[in-house]
Amino acid sequence: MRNRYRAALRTYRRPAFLGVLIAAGGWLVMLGLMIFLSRLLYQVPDAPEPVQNQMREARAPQVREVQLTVVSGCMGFYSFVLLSLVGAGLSIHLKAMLGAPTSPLVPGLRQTHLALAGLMIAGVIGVLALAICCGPGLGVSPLAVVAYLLAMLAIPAFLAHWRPETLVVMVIVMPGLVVTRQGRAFIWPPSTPVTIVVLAVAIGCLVSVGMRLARFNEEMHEFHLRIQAGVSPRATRVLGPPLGDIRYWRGVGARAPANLLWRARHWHAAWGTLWLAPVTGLCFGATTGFVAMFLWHFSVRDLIGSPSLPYLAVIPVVGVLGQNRPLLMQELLRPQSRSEHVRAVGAALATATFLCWVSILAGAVLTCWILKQEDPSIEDLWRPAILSLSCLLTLFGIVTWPYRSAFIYVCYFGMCGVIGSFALVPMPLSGHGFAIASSALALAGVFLIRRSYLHWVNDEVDWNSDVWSLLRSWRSRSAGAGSPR
Amino acid sequence: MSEFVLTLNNVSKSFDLKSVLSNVSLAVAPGCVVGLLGKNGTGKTTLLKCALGLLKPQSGRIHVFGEPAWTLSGEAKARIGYVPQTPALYPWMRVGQIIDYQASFYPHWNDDLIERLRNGWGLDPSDKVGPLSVGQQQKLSILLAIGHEPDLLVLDEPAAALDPEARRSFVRTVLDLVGRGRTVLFSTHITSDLERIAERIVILERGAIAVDEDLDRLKERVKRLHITARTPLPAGFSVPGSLRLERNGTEALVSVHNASPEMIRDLESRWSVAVDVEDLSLEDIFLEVTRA
Repeated sequence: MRNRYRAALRTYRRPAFLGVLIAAGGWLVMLGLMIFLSRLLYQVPDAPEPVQNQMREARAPQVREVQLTVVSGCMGFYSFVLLSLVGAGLSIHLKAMLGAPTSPLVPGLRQTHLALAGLMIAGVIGVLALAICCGPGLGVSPLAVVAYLLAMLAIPAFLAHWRPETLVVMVIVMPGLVVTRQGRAFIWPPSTPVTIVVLAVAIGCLVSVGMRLARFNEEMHEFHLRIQAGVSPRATRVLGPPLGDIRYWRGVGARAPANLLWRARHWHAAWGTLWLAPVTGLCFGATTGFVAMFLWHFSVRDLIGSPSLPYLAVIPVVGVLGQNRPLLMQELLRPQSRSEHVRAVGAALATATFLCWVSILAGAVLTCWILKQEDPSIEDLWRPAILSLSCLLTLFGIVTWPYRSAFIYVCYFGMCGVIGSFALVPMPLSGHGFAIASSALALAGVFLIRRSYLHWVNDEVDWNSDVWSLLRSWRSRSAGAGSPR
Repeated sequence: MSEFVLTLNNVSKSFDLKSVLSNVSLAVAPGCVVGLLGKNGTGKTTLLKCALGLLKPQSGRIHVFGEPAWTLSGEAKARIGYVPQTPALYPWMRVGQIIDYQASFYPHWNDDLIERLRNGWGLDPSDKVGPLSVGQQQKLSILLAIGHEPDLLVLDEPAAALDPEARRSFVRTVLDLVGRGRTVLFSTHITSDLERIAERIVILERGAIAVDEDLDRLKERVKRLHITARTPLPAGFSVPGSLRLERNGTEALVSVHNASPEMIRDLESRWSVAVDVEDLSLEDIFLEVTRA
């Protein structure tokens, strides 16, 4: 006898959810380590009771600091990443499953999926809330914890349901809030009215999405905004000519000069990314700077010297990850030679990524400079910038890998986890550790980029292949038995 | 129990002020196979989607198994199978997994039939759906639609991407379903398939029903007449009920929608001509009707 709930649960075994699992795994490891550390600090050797109490009192500030770190970690970066991924992922998945042409005609399909999603949300929030309330022992309000965790999940779910493109804004703005937040005093618990408002907003978001999904049909506006299974051509739709492009408006854009970047611009592949990159970068950088100044009262030195700065490298490569691979492959059939095409598109994407990264840094520094009139010194800037650039190279290497398999997402989210950990455990920005980490990341990046380039030029790229078929192909090739992909 | 499996009364549907269906009325009796024909963009898919409650018409009423199509109950849904025009399956699933997924929602699922067809159509249960060819995805869509042996099977150009062998097997399967009293609403451009299985033909033209008739009756009625006269045909030569008339001196080629022995005799005596009657295939009938 088949079970419809089990069948619906199996639909979550899709590559997009691997990122969530990685984030969840990372979060649980961090949480476990912190709780372990907090318990370790609280332990005292065998001694008479008064002595033990004295020792506990002496360690109390340390313990409290660790506990606060646990709570801020749980309620901050990792929870945000995990819960926003779960919320947006659930919403997108449900829209894909309930929006398939035959889904409205399958009896009980909507109820099953919605009930399962409700259980998953309750489970995730319940486990996190229990861990936070029971773990550190700070006596935090369970209602406040649930309210904030639920809001972190419900708002991305709501945005993903109504306007998937607003997720981009959230991805740009929220990390700005989070990365600049580290190291500041944590205010907890929030007042009861604020908690109730947050809880009401979160429940409102979930209920509205649930009600819409319960009768999801083609007549609904948001039905046509769903991210469909597979790669949607709309994802890299040409948005329009760049406003500042004088040549385009003069009508000579059709005669592309024999320049790599110019040619790539006139190919669909790199079009959207290139002109959007500096604008996106400036917006993100300026938001980060603004938030750092006004909400957390950072100085320019705080911002530039912040160990969170490498995190900014995560943003520019997202545009490359979203490139339409089938379209890139189709364009390999153009009359230009394959290597020429790969070089042109690769150069355009690399330029876009680098421009975006530079714009982020420039936007953040300029905002701080304008608002606070402080001149950041080169001494403050160069080390975090080099670390960030090394991270950028590695991330670019990962996302340009030609096989769009689940493995790429695992690597990307894994790397984001590594970079995100710099925010929790500040990396020493001087000495051998810095030199070794930066060099290792940069070398890994260069290696990956070179391998990606060679694959694009020499191999028959199967964008849909999974990591196992890729490994099988490598093995058979190295054994000399198989033909190249 | 309603007398009809599916009824549409004066259904109109438009998208952004562009009218796609206007006052369409149709009633499908149990056990009937209805073939839906029409040029591209005449509203066939919209009609099928409205009929199944996937789209809501601006006016008119639609009932499936006696229930309003827009608010079908689970019991009614369990009696419907639908193959959409474009197979939209989940690319990350495997063939076996997607069949299990679909089967788990139905109280009755014919595993033997699905297993037999899956093997016959060369679908490996361990294959991922994403890399399957369009034809293979179409086969999988058909399997998912017929596994629960629906009382009403709605097919929107299901065989367009199938190879000849699979198409023949598919037609046999549909005939088998029809033999067991199921109702089929079948939209296709492959008229030879319809000729084999359809009892009734509906031709849509600019969002309205131009023809709604039994296939045999339609074939009896719509004929092509080869007319030969001894002297050049006069300028005023005309044939009542003609869909198309081509005249060339003493000869004329006329397609008519109301051919009958009386009408032929009347034509011969009135214009002193010899008339040869040509039977038309469904494809020819469709072309003649839509050209007219």
